[in-house]
Amino acid sequence: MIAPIVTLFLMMMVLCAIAALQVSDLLGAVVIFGAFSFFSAIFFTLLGALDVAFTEAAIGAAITTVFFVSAIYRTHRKVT
Amino acid sequence: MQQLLQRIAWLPFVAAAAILFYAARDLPTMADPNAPASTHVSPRYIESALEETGASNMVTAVLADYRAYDTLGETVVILTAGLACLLVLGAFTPARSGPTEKEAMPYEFGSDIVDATSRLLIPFIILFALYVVVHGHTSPGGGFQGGAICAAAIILVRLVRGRAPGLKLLPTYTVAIGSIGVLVYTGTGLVSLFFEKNFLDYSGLPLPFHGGHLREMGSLSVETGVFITVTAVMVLIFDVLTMGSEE
Amino acid sequence: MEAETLSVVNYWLAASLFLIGLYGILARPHLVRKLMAMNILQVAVIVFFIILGYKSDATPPIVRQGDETPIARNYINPLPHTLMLTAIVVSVSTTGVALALLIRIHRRFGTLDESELIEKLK
Repeated sequence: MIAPIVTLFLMMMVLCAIAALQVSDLLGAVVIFGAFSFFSAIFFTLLGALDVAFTEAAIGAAITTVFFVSAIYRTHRKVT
Repeated sequence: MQQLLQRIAWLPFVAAAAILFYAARDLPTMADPNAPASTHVSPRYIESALEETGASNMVTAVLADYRAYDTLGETVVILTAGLACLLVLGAFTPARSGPTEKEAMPYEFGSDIVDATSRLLIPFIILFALYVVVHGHTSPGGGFQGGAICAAAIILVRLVRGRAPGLKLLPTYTVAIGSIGVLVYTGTGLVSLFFEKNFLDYSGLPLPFHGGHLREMGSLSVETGVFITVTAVMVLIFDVLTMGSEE
Repeated sequence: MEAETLSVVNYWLAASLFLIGLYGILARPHLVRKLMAMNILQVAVIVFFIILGYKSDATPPIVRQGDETPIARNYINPLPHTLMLTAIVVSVSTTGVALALLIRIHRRFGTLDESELIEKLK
C-alpha cells in the first residue's frame, strides 16, 4: 500500500520547510530548500504526477537553487 | 504603530490555521475515483485525447492543444519576467549591454576534475533536453521541462568555465531568442487563422498529415516555441543576477 | 476508515506547509527568507492540487500501448497536473524578478533586514 509512504514524504517536506526557515546560515537554508524541492518531486512521483515531478526536479531543485545562491552571493551571507 | 502590527501578526496566522484544519475534514477522501475533481471535465480529456490530438501523454495534450491559450499566456508571462529582471537591474542600457573583463563571473571553479566532468556531461544533457521536447507526446516531458534542462546545461557551462569561453550569449541576444519563441507560438496560431480555422486550431495547418497526426505536429511546433522561450529566459535571469554591479 | 484518516492527515500536512510559508512571510525578518517562505507556500498549493487529482488503482496519465479506448477510471486526472506544471514555471520566473528587486534594494540601502530597512526609509 502506497498511502503511508506518501504521508511519510509529506512529513519530510514539512520538516525541511521548518529547517529552511530556522537555520541561521542563509546558504545552508538554500541547500535545505533544494532538498525540500527534491522531496516534493518524489512525492509527486508517488502520486502519479510524472510531468509535475519532472518539472519540479529540473526547475525547483536545480534552477531556483542556483538563482538563490547567485543572489545571496551578490548581497551578503548574513546570519539572522 | 509598527510594534502593534508585530504584536498582532499571529492573528491572521491563527485564523488561517483554524479555517484550513477545520475544512480539511469536508474535502473528498484522497484517491476517491468519484471525487468531483475527477468526474466533470477530465473524463472528456482522458477518453478522447489520444484519438483527437494523437498524443498519448494526456498532460501534453491538454497543455499544448486543449488549453493552448493558457500556455500562450504562461509563455508571455515568462518572457515578461525576464524583461522585468533586465530592467530592474539596469543592465539594458546600450553602454553596458555586455559584461566587461572586470565583471566576468566571480565564481569559476578552476578545478580540472569539474572541468573534465562537465565537458563530458554537457552534450548529453543538451541532447536529453531535445529528446524530452520531441518525445514529449508519448512520454513525460514537453517544452517546459526540456527548456529547463537545456538552461541548466548552459548555466553549468557558465558556472564551470566563466562567461568568456563557452556559449557566449549576451542579454541582448537572449531577449531576442526568447521573443522568437513567443513568435513561433503565435505564428502557429496565426497560420491556422489564415487557413480559415480558429486561432491555435491545429487542424488548419498546411501540412501533409491528417487528423490526430496533424494536431500532434501543431502542438510539437508550439512546444518548440515554449522550449526556446524557457531556455532563453532562464539563462537571461541567471546572467542578470550574476552580472557585476557598478560599485 | 483507515484511508479516510490518512487522507485527512495528508490534507493537514499540506495545510501546515501552507501555514509554515505564511508564518515565514509574516514573521521572519530577512527578505531572502521571506522569499523562500513564499516558494514553500506555492509548493503547498501545488501539493494540494496533486492530492485532489489522485485516484486509487489508476496509472499515470499516459495511454498504455494497445489501449484503444481509454476509460477515465483507469487513468489519474491529468488536468491538475497541467495547471500545476505551468504554475511551477511561473513561480521560478517570479522568484527571479523578486531576487532582482532584492539585489536592487541591497545596492541602494546596504541591508536586507526588514526592521533596518524601515529605519532607513524614515
